[in-house]
Amino acid sequence: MTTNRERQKKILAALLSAFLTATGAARAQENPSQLLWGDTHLHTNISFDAYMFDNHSADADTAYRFAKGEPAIHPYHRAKVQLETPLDFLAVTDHAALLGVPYGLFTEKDPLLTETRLGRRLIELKDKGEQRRAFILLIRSMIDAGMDASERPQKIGPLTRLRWKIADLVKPANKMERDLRWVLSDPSLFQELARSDAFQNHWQANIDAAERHNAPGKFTSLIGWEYSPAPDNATLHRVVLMSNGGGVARQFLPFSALDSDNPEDLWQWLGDTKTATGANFVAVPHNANISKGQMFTRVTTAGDPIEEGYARQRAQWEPVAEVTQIKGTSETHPILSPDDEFADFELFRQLLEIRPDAPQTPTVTEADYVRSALKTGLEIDNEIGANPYKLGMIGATDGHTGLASAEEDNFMGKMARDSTPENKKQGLGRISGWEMSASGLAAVWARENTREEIISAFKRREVYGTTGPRIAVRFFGGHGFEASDLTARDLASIGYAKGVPMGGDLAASSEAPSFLIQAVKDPKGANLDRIQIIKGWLDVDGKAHEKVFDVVWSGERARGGDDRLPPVGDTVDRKTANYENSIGAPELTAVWRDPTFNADTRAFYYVRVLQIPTPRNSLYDSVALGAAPPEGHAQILQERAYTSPIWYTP
Amino acid sequence: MSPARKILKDPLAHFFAIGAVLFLVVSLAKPAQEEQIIVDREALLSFIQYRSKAFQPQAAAAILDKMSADERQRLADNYIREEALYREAQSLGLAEGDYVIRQRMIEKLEFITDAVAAPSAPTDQAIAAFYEQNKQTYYQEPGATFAHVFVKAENISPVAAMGRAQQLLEKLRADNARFKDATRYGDRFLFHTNYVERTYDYIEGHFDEEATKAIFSDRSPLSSWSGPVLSEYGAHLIYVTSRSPGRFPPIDEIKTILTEDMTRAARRAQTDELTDAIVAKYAPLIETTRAPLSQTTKLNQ
Repeated sequence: MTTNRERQKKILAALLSAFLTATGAARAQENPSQLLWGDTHLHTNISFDAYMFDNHSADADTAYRFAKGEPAIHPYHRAKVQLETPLDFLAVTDHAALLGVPYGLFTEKDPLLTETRLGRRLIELKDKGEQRRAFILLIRSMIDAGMDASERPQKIGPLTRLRWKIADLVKPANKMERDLRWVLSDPSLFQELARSDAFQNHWQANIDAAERHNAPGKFTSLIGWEYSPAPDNATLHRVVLMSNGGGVARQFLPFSALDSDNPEDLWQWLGDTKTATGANFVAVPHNANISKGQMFTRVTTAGDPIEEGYARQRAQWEPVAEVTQIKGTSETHPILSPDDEFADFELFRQLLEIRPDAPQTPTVTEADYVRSALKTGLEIDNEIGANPYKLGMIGATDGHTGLASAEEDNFMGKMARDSTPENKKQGLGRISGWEMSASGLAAVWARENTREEIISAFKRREVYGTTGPRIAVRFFGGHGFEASDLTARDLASIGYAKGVPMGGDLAASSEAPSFLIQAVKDPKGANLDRIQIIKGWLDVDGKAHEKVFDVVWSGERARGGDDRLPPVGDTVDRKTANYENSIGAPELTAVWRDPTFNADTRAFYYVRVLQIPTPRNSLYDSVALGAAPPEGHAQILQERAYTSPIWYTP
Repeated sequence: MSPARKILKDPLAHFFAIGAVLFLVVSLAKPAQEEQIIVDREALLSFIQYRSKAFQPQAAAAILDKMSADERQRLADNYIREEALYREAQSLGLAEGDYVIRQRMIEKLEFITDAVAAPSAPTDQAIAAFYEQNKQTYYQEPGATFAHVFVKAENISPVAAMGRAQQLLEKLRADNARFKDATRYGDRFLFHTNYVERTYDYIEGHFDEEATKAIFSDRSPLSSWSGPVLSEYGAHLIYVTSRSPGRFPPIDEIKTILTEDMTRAARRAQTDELTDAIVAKYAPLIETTRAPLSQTTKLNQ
């Protein structure tokens, strides 16, 4: 017998669920109106390299607190540091490989690590002040963990040891070489140290910190990690992010380069883990610029031409790439884009190559930069009907200090050690701190500040990147945009009504598409120089081309004979490291129609917004030091925003 | 009768024989019981879990049930080998003076200490005291909720913009316009029209100092249009609905955060206290008569 009370309860429940469905649907139809700023790529003291370069103390908790605008202690110089403007979201993404191992070895002195043979040697080296040697030994043993037995040097026997001892009497030997030979000759040395039970504890700790700081609507902490394979010292690195909370993340250990250095295995694992746990992942490739021509290739890891299955799998997991971060720009390079006068920007000139006899200079191929990958994507799509490189764009810091700052005047260093002006020159060995600049951030158009909304924006690519300033950019492609739309009170609602936002697709049409663009300066930052559109398209033979269009600019500048605009000017005082907003514009808007449109071929369009020149961290440092500006490094830079493209498919 | 037969028939010999057998049985059987390694389902299940370092009994049971007879035998063999070697090492006293085991035991005790240090939920009184001690951490900046109507000074002079704004002000008043109507008047401002519970710093970033001061001053009465004030972008008419001064929020408002921060601090303090208590149980005897202390404690100087 059902009582009245129970019936009432049932009715109430039904009403409630109907109400939730109705409001849920209404919510989904709303256009994203919130612009959220965050960093999806940040390392803390449990990343092996962060620790080895002196971040011993800034952990995930520090990272989230700092991102929320609270003061924090810098892990190297111990001064109080704080963000000028807090972030809306942050992902702590420590290297999954060797997660927490140096921290456990040197700080926690975990006997499971300190009593291993390699652990003892590393401690010995560190105690002798030979931290760099310890670092090289650790990283080489990791990178070469998968080396074939036949390639390994012979194990060191008593005879060799004796010979070394005798040789030492004659002249001092290269100890590094001996250490390397020792560690490479015996893979079990590394295996003793790479303990998954140690990783497990640190993975849990990062999850716990994320759970503590996640506050839907106010601040989002995304759970994630970095997958950092480096076959042949080429960075094929990806950050993996998820929309789920700790309940899901605790069910697995993050997939690492120790599991496989083939990204195809990562995608497979992401798929399997999604099926097993319901995890919702996005992988973000980064530092294509130092991938030695391996990031955006036309072939699979095995060397076969890309086929439809591969293209679809890759596009499913990797909808977005980092185009700017502390280790330089991955948008394009002057060699690839000779007609782009702004292509020579924050190029990173060093591979992460620790073998002294190997080449140290990055390659410049179409597989190393995102713009050429977008072009390659059109060509492949044309041939096989699927595009592996339909990439949106973001920026991220990839800081290793636990402190996500992309501000030139408030730069925390790439590693903890190169955070002070006096350490910049020598801080990281071959790589000068001034080689790098404070960059970048991810901007996300969302309905609200939650994990689900942010990951969903990544999946539809309604995201963009900047080199640090919070330049607000709207970008819509469609048909029928008019100049009068620019003065409308709600420009975005017109954009959504007549077109698609960044990351979207335009269908076949005989009429050239038009684009509605708005860029507003960082409220606390510099004015804007210009808005550009970068177009890539296929010719009738299926070959890709690119062109940069100046769309709208500040001041009364007219194009010169070479069709180029004169520069916006430069207000940076080299003596005081100040600039003025007396040039440039606080806001630029435009409706632009493609004058070279061909309805029959594929194309993509993305926006680049340039700021007026502002001081670079190298200038702030030299002024602070009262020294001459460091040679070979720019003193100013034109910070910028890059939007995700809009694609046209006939 | 051969001598052998004679012995077999001798009762004394029988007694010795039985005695010998008994001795053998007793001397062998007793230690055999001590050294017995029981290989049952439970033992294998915990063995699997220790080996995989994942403590999930159901998952371990599933693994065990899926094993073939061969695999199960191998698992049992490994288990027996580990258990036997462990017991033998223990009986030989190998745990003594081993620094790894020492560290590991300390680690375990610290882990337990940390778990024991479960600070009880703080009382309201304690929370209030904690808040008082750490007040500066919880200061909230002044904030305001307002809408504004903007007149661009891009193609006209600031004076002209102020003039146009003055006319708009009269229209707003005549239309009886309110907060929600602001979007229907004036030009598009490059940032926002409505600002809800925004801090002074945030607002100052979007307007300049003068305009921000006006928004936060009594010159702009609540729930009515005032202005115009000039910023670097143009003229603004302001409709402020609420202003909150910089403040220390009442405890109830931030109780969750306070409780969380306090518990964390208390846990740290308790762990330290417990460790101190353990250390205090042991009286250090610092040898001063024979070896000079200064030599052994040099590191501390």
